[in-house]
Amino acid sequence: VTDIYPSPRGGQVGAPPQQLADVLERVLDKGIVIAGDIQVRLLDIELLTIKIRLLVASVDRAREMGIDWWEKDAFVSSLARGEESSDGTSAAELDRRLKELEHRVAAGDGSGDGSARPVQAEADDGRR
Amino acid sequence: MADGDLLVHAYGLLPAGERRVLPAAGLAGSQVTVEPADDLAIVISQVSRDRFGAEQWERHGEDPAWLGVVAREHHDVLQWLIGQGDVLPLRLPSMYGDVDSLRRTVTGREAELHRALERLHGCIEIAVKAYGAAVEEPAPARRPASGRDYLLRRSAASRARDDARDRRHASVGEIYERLGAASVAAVSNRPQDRALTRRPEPMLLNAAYLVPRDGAAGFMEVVDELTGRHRDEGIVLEASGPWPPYNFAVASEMEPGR
Repeated sequence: VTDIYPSPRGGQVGAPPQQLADVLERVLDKGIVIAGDIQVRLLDIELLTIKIRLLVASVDRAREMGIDWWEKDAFVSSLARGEESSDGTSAAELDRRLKELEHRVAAGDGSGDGSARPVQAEADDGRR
Repeated sequence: MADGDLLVHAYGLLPAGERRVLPAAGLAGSQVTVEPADDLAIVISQVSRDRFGAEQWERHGEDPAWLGVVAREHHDVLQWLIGQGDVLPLRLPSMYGDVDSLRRTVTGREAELHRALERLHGCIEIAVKAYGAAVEEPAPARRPASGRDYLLRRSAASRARDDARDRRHASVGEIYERLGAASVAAVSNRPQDRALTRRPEPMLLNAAYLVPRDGAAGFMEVVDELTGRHRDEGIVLEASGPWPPYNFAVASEMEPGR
C-alpha cells in the first residue's frame, strides 16, 4: 500500500501506520454494523483513550506484558520516551477525569440491557 | 482443532468477483480468506474462541492494551484492502459463531450492504484536522497614560481576542465547507480532547472526507491552499490518509457518518 497523494506543505500527512487514537475512533465507532452472533458492550471511546494514556504512562508495565504496539505509534511512543505532557495534564488529572467519565457511564447506563456503547450520544455531539 | 474452538472474525466486505491480494496475516496472526455471499465477498479470519470469544471481549473490551492490538490488526487488514480497491469496513467487535451464520447475516441484508459499498465505489477517506495555534498579540507601543487609558486598552485587547476567536471559528466552518465541496461526502466528528492529541493547541476540526482515488491529489491541493490562506489566523491543518472509508460506511443514506 502506497501513499497516493502528496503531503500538504506546512502540514503533515500521517501515512500509515496511523495514530492509535484515530484508529480506535474509527474501528470502534465507525464502520458498518451487521449484528454479530456475539453481542459485546464496549467502552466509551473517550474513556478508552484516556485509559490508553494512563496505561502508557507506565510503559514498563506494558513491556512486561509483552505489548509493543505502542512502539509503532507516534502518539504512544512519544509517551514511551517519557516526554512531559505539553498541556500540563498530569496522570492524576487524567485519573480524575477517568473516574468522572466512568461515573457518567455508570449513571447513564444502569439498565444493563446489553446494548453497546452506553454513552453513544456523547460521541455524536460534534457531527453535522 | 474442532470447529467449536474457532470463531469467525469479519473485517469488511468487498464486491464479489474482484481479485485481491490478501494480507499475509490478520487477527493474532490468523490467515485471511474471502467468503462469497451473493454479490458480496466477506473478508474473514478464523480465530480461537479462547482468545476472541465473548468472554474475552467482556474481560478485555475496556483494556486498551488488548483492544489496541485487536483494533490495529483489524485496521491493518482494511488498510491493506483499501490500497487495492473498494472495501466496506465493519465495526468492532465483529465476531460470528461460524461462516454460515455470518453468510446468512450478510445475505439477509445483501441489497442494503451492496448499496453501501456502491456509494463508496472508487473512493478513499481522507482525514483533515484543524488546530488552533496561539497567535501572538502585538506588545503595546507605550505605557498607558492613565487608568482610563489602561482600561480602554484592556477592553480593546479583550475585544480583539474575541473577534479573532470568532473569525477563527468562522474560518474553520469555511474550511469544512470548502473541503466538503471538493469531496463526495464530508463528516465532522467531535474534536479530540487534548489529553488524546497531546498537543497544547485545541483541535478545532476533526473531519473526514470521502474522495475519489483519482481526485485525491486535487483535494490535497485545496488543503494546501487553505493551509496557506489561514496560517496567519493560527489555524494549522493536517491531513492523513488514505483511510478505509470508515466514516462513510453506512447502511442507510439517511445516516451519514454512521
